[in-house]
Amino acid sequence: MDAAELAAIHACQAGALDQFDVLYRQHVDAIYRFLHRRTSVREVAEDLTSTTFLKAMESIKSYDPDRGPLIAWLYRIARNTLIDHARSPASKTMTLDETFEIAGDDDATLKATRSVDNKRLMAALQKLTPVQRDIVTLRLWEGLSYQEISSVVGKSEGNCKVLFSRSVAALRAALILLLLLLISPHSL
Amino acid sequence: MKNAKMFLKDLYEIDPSLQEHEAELLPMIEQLLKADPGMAPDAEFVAALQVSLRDHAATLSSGNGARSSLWNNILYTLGGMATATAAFVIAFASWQGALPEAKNLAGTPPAAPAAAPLFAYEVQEAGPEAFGSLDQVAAEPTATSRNQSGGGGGMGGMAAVSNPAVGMDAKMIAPWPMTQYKYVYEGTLPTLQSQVDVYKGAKSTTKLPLAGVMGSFNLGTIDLGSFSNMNVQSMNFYQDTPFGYQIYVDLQNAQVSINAQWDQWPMGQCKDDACYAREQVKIGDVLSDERLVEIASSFLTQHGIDLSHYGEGIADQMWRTDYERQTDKTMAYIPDTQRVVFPLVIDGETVYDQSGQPYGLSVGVNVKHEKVSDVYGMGDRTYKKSSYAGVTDSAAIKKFLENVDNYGYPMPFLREDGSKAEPTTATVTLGEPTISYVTYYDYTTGANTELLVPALVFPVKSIAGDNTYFYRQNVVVPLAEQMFAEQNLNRPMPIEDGPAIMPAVEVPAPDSAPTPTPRG
Repeated sequence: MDAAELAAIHACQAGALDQFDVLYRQHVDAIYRFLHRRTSVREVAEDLTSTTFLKAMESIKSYDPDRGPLIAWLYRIARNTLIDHARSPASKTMTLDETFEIAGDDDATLKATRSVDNKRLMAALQKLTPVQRDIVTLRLWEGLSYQEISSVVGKSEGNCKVLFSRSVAALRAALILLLLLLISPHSL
Repeated sequence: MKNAKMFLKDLYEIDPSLQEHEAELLPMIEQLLKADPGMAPDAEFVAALQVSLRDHAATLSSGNGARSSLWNNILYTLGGMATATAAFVIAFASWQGALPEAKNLAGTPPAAPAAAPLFAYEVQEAGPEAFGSLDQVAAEPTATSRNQSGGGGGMGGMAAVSNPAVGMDAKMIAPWPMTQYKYVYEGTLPTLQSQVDVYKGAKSTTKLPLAGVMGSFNLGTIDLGSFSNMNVQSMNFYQDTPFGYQIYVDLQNAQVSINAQWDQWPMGQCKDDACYAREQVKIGDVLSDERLVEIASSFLTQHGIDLSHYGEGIADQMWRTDYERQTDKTMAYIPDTQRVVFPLVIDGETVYDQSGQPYGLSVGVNVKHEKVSDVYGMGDRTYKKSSYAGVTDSAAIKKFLENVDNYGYPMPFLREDGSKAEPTTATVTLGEPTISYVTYYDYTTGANTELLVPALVFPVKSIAGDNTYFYRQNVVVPLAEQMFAEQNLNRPMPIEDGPAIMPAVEVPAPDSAPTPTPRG
């Protein structure tokens, strides 16, 4: 965590919430990307990003910098916001399992850039458990360290490492299976 | 650019057998990286949300959205150090009854009279049990073994914080802690009192009235004098010099904080990796505790910050626990700002937070430049004092210690497939306790009010067994009977039937995060 960020956190915790600007500017891009990756619907990602930062501002006093980087804490809030949204009756767009199915469907740009391989990959990703999928995407797409991932998903760092390696192995197996099905749909 | 090979190397370290499948894994990881559907937010959205957040900040700061927005906008309009200083000088002087002299803004501003501090240290007697029952006061689930669910960085405690924003579903109870700590104290306890004093922060709103001088605030674009009954809510000052500071005075909550004006500090001016690398703290740069305390103390003295109600500075070296445990030291986190805490002293006793760390005036020292970068915890220390029934039963206290960190998960844990996960165990031996005060927060009225509760503070002497995630330096036991009973009674936490590790469901649950422990 850089010193400027820490100073802004302390200022916010002391009541100077105008300093939240610093934290927002630093992390809005990452949090939005995180949410967009899981919703692929710009409006939903924007709504959830807003909720995430409002919640973060309201509870900034409970964040302890000694216990991990702010970004991991924000990802955690974003993840819970996403879960809340997925659970809400109003949300027909997503359970998290569905978000990968949604991915691409509501966004013409994304859809256009997706290849068949991507679809196969997304199908393989769907075969992972939600936590496994979170760990893979947090590691590869968000670029988080295992330490940070552990904080977001609430598992130990060691557990995250093991889950990551197992998830990659499972992905490989799923891809092989999907490939076989593609080549010879009746062979299995 | 993310590198697939880097991830593979990382994977092979975890599971070398995967190396056999590199031919399939490499294109798969490359494809996964390319498939990243993340998109940058729209600039218009980012700007609009920033405005909304500022409004929300104003609302939160004031507890009165409209008034706060008005004032903040006015202060924003005033903007800049000179105007803010003028406002402060006038207001402060007015408050001090020295308005005529202070009106001459062109001259040297009158120094703040040292004999009349803006914020007070005061204890007011409030009679017995004046704060109502203490059994609803929330105990933060202390980050006992701070990162049971987190990594080596000690992040698990973060999730343990009772925080609606990161709240867990009650059904998603985590198998935490996987290491069961047994706390043992074999000595005798100090004499305990049947009545103890509890302190509650008294709301102290310092008003700096601008009435009578508002005529001076006709800015041309707006006549501030046309508004009646104006007061100053907050002020922000900054130094436009190398290694400058900004100082925020929150009159509503009677707090002052100092922070580095980062664009004036070397790190804030970095434009390239080489600069960041130069500024990065290496283990060889780390200062001794004595030097950290010396830098912090000199700064406080130099700026007339009153330390008469605070103890000697203590350097917080918690980061070293993580550092020592990190096998690859190049990956270890060394904070560039290290903290010195001057603990609050009340009734002659040191005040701690619930995790057993000293609590009070906290000073950040930038290690690289050996300069203070921030100070917080300064402000009004007005408390009301009330007597409550105290805990005197030694056996109950020892029983309480046995249950510290016992969150009531069934042992052994049941995995989703029905198999059993045996926890590891560790015995923590505690040293002779002192009677001190511990901070709690009373949210029952909707406001966040500080309580200082007498408590036994046991130092951790040793730990036998798995200490991988153990961070505690002290264990605290509250001595106010109502609070003690509440915290004791609510263990173990009630859970629903079924496996402690829930199966994967349609949404990814934070399923092994430490659940906020509803002791209250």
